[in-house]
Amino acid sequence: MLVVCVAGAQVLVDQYRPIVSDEAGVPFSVAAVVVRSFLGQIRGLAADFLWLRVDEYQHRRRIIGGDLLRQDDEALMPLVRLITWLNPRFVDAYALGGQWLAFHFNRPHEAVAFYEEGIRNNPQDFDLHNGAAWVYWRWLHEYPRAIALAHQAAGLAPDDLHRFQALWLEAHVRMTVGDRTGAIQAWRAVGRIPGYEQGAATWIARIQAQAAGGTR
Amino acid sequence: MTSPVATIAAQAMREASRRRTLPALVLFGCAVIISSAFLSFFQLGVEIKFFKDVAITVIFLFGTIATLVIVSTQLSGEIESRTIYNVLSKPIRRWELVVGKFVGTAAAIALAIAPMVGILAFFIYTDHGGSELEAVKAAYLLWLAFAVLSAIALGIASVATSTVTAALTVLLFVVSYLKGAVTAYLDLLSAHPAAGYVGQALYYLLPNFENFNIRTALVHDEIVPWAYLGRTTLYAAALIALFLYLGAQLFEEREF
Repeated sequence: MLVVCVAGAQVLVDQYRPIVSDEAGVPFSVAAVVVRSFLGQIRGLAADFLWLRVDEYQHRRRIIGGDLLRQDDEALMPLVRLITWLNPRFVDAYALGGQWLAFHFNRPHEAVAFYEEGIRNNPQDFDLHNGAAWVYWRWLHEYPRAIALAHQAAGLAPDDLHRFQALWLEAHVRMTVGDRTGAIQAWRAVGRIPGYEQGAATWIARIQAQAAGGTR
Repeated sequence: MTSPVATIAAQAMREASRRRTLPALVLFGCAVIISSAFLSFFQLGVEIKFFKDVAITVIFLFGTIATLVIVSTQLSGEIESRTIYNVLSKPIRRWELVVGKFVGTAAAIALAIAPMVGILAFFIYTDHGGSELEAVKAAYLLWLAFAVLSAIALGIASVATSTVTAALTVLLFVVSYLKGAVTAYLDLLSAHPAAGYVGQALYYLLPNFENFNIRTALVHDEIVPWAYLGRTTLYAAALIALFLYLGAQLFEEREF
């Protein structure tokens, strides 16, 4: 009877796990599950200490023979992967990993895969949406996805500067595909941000002039 | 007239507080938490997350050690030193002894972690690093985990020596965290439905200490619903009742 009560209580608890747990709903690989299980409740702290090392690699990049030491860049990625296994809510690790894969290793497909994983685990984060939008735009030329992510990022921006960055990105991607109407709408949204009215008006005028002149 | 359970509980609390290890653990834990508040390895905004991580981990580690130290000698220590005969000669039922030991231990652990929780809440308040109430919720859930661990240890202690009690309790504690890995391997290695049933059985029958872990919500400034606390309290109560019942039954059958 008591065993049934224990099992029943676990079912009740599981209904709220996605809200309070960093593991509920995340499809971890078997390797990730093993690592997380062994570290138990200290995995969050382990992720924080690994980030110290990653931060060191990121900011103290050594130059040997006139070029950046690639071993430091390559050593950073497994640590980033481990951090995201230990704490899927560690947004900085996802953002850094996606950026490194795209900018330093020229692997945009892996970069967006990493970004998309981070977005699934952290759907309310601005940096991941914005970073992924950049890679889709400049590397992969998948403009619809870039526009969607930039638009979402604008809605998630924590302040006016970040909102401007996302709307700027959305407007430029729309211009790349020739969507002048959409680009003007994005710049009008920029114009509603205090302090950005003049810049937005300039861009809108430029786009309208291009449209009138028949140039792209 | 106080009940036997309350009398035993008060005695268990006094015993726990007289141990040198418990105040030393509390002082050391508080020192680690305070020192981590002044580390500046991270940039602004991230420091408070790191501090909350460190504080909750310290409370977890030191609370676990304190629980094992207190409980492993409560019942089995009295049996080994023969002082149990003095207690059993009084008009007290054996299950009252087990429950009283549990209540006293749980209260002693609550007092042990209270200073560390206070320090955590203080620094969250001064650094404007989120809600102090959420920190208290996280600490309450950790205390529930320690209470469950105490019940498990008391259940084992009713039939085992203090060394075996400590070892088996730690083993069960570790296994409860590793069952996630075991379940994942079962799913990976076997397509047979029986493997899935074994995994499900492990999940529901072994204590799930992850239920008491809301570190992520605390670090990321999220609100933990009161309903979650209520349900987790129910879960802890069910586990405690199960292990105390088993322990009381085994203790009843034991001959001295």
